[in-house]
Amino acid sequence: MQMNRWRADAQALLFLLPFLVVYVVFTIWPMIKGLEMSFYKWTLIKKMKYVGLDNYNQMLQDTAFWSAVWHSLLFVILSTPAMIVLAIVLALIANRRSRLQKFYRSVFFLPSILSVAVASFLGLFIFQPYTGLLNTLLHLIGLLPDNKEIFWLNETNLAWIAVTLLTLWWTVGFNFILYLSAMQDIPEDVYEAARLDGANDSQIFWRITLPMLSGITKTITMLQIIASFKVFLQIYIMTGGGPLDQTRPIIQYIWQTGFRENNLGYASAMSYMLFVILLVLSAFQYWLNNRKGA
Amino acid sequence: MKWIIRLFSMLLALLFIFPLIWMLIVSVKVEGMKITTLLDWFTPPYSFAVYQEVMTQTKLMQWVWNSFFVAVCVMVLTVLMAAMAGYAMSKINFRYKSFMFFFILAGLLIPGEAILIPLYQVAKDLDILNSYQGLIFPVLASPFAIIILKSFFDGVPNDLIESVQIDGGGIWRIFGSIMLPLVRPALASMAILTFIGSWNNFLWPFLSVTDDNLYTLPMGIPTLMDQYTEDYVKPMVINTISSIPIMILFLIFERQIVKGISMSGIKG
Amino acid sequence: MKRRFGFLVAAVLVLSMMLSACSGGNSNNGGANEAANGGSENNGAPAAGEKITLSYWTLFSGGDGENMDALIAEFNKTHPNIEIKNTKLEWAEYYTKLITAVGNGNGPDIGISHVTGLDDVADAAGVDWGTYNENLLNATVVDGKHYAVPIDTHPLIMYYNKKLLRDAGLLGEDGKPVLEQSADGFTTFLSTLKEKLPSSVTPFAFESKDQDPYRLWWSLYKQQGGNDVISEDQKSAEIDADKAAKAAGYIQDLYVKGFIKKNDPDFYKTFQSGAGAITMTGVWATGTWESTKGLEFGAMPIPKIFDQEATWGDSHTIVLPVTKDEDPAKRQAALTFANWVADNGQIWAKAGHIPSKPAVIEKQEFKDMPYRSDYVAVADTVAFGNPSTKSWQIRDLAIVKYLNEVWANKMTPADAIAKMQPEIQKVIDQ
Repeated sequence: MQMNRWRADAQALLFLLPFLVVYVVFTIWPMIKGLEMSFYKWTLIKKMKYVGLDNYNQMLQDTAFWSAVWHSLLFVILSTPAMIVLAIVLALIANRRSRLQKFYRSVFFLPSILSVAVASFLGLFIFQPYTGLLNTLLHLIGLLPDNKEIFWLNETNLAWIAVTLLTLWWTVGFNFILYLSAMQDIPEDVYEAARLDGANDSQIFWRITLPMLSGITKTITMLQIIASFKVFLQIYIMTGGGPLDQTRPIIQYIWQTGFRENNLGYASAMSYMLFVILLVLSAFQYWLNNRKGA
Repeated sequence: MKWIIRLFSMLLALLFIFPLIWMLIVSVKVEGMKITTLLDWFTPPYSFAVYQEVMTQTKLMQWVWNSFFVAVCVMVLTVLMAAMAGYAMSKINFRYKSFMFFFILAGLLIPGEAILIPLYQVAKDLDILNSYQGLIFPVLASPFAIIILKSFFDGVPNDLIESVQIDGGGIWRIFGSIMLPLVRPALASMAILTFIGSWNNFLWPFLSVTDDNLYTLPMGIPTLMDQYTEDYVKPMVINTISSIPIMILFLIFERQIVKGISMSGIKG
Repeated sequence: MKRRFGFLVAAVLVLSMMLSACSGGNSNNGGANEAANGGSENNGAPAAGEKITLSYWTLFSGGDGENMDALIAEFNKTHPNIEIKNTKLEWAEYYTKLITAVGNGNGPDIGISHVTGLDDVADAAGVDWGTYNENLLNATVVDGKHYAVPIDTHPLIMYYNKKLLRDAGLLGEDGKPVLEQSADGFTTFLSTLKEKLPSSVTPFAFESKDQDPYRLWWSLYKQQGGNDVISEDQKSAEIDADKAAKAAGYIQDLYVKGFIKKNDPDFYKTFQSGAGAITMTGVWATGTWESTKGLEFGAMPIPKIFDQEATWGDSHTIVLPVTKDEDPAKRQAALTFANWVADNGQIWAKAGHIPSKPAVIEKQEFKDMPYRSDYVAVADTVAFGNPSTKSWQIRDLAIVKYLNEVWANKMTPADAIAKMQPEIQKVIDQ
């Protein structure tokens, strides 16, 4: 099997080339370009002038930027634990032996395939006052007096709840599937052995199932933190980032700066910061996992 | 106890599906209905008039097609490129291979959202804004798919390749008729994940396309919606039309989708 | 004009239509919708030497879009030597499109500098500036030079439900509301409505945030003679805090006193379905109300709450962006078209807009349309802001979001105005 070395190199290049072209042009090059842009005043039309670190200085002093970062983090804090707990509950349900097993799996996952725009508008209509699904439901079952309305999307705290609930409903399916397949990978004899030892259901769950899911939980936590941090459209459609920008996430702020305020340079600087934050989040997560594993 | 769990499960399932049922039923209501209680959303009369209006008087169908076209192109090209690259990374010994591996891995750390602004500038410089190319090419590089597929190629024994080579088969034959079929389940799963990803991609089309003939669904839908409305019929028709195709696909390919998602758990 | 999704609720810029004088084929938006031109595609090809083709960038949808199509078709028919090709851009993200399209790599930023003066070809195109409404025209003049042709104005006005007003005993013999034009008068009017009408009817169908309340605030601010929120040189924020707070405080009271349904998601529907006694919105709603069965309504200028009559309003204008080859023939043709559109404002007025030429208002065709004549006088009292390239950013990023807090009764008017001042400055400085 003596393959000519040059030939192997050429073959590898040939096989890698299509990927490398798009990868370099549309991922690596923008990464470099973004660095350049962040040192300029740069509009949608063209490069204007070199401003050195001005954009970065502005960012450090821009309270709107930091509060947007905080809002994205807040969403991570609100959504991640809920995503994990709910996903485990759903997976437990769908993992039970029952005629409805397949039905549960489909139903819990179904919302996840909706387009982000569809899900977001459903969210808007669910939480709207007077005619929205939730308020009319609360009226019907008598939890809300007829002459009262809850303004879910107009109060900052309620708006966070609404956005989190909608996102849970919409995306928990992915985590659910991951948990479900992890549960199905747990060998049946482990359970049987536990039952023989007289363990009840809740003991089995806390002592066996949950520990055996710890690997996938770490993975899901990491994926979920990153995904939640990148939240944008559902908030934008449901609250517009309001009231008073109190729910505006970082991606929305970057987009507004770039495309509504016509300031691509500053938006690029913020994008770099976003990159750094996500990197730090992943690194932190990696460190946590490895520390525990050690 | 069993009974309570069953009831609780049913309630949760109902909660998950209820908004979708609501969407479907409201979409066949008559516009301009007065809604005073929840039940008003569900009672007759029903009508398909708004469906006809939306299909003929908006570009929604064009956008459904665009979404499909773009998603299929992205799916085929992404998986093909990733399979080729994954094969090279797995089965060809070439110089700088470990460097290449890290170069690809680095891509996993670059979130698409962080490069959108410069990507806009790059696409503008290449003059591919407002085109199908512009919608498709920038999202094709998937280091994730390469890494997954590489691990599947790794599982194929080298003897198999050698025996084909002894038979005089070239590298393309090895790749095309031996390797690809062997990792077909992984390919299918990657394909489906890529498809869903493209179907739901909002930010990039939103920034790069301004011509409404090229809109995809996620960015087209908001332009049809009135944020301040109590008449949900038309919005729900739009939501339904946008969701039906993907729901049908889901029901057909549910198994592969589930498998594909399970694979994405490997990543961590 | 439909009120659509958030991106655009923003948006009626002074520069809302682009008439580009470059030839049609040159447009980098070649793939865009040109179907609007119907069958008249290129059948003038043989006369290539004579015919001038102009590409026309519009941002209208719905009824406005149809009316503009009708105007273009009519113009193309009556002007064999000029052909207008309409490219409709979507409202969503039109701002981005505008700057990228117009900028075309030539200039620093979108704005007046991207628009050419019109005076050199105005005479040749047969434009007589004297035939335009002076108030509207003034908003398009910078340093004594004309930069745009206003084709309409679309101010904030008040609509009332005649039946409900009658029920409350507030409809006069002449079919007009019995309403004293003062701060107290309007409040009394609303409290009478609230008392006399069933509780399911909201006295004042109105939005609880964003654009329309902002427009009312601007109107009341201007009614007290408030100066523009930015200085004339566009360098500093100059909001008149007392007057601004007084206007905001008055409107806040309307919300607090319960005249307005709280956080109404759809006040158009509230008014349309007869669940609102009055409403205030732009004149573009006239067409919507007209097509609503069983809605007996009237239209009038918004009441004079404070010292002088003034109303928020904006104009659709036609401008000529700077292009590489400044072909005078094309620019003249473009101006001919713009002037012709203004002359035929009665077609454009179908949606509710007020024509920019007083002569059009006198046309029988215009008079035959109901309601419009009740509010055409507003054209003289529309209070425009100083032309600024950042006007919408100032409004959306610095003003509206604080006003929204005032309407929700979470911030005092004085606090809100105090917060606006530095925010406006920030937008200007960027």
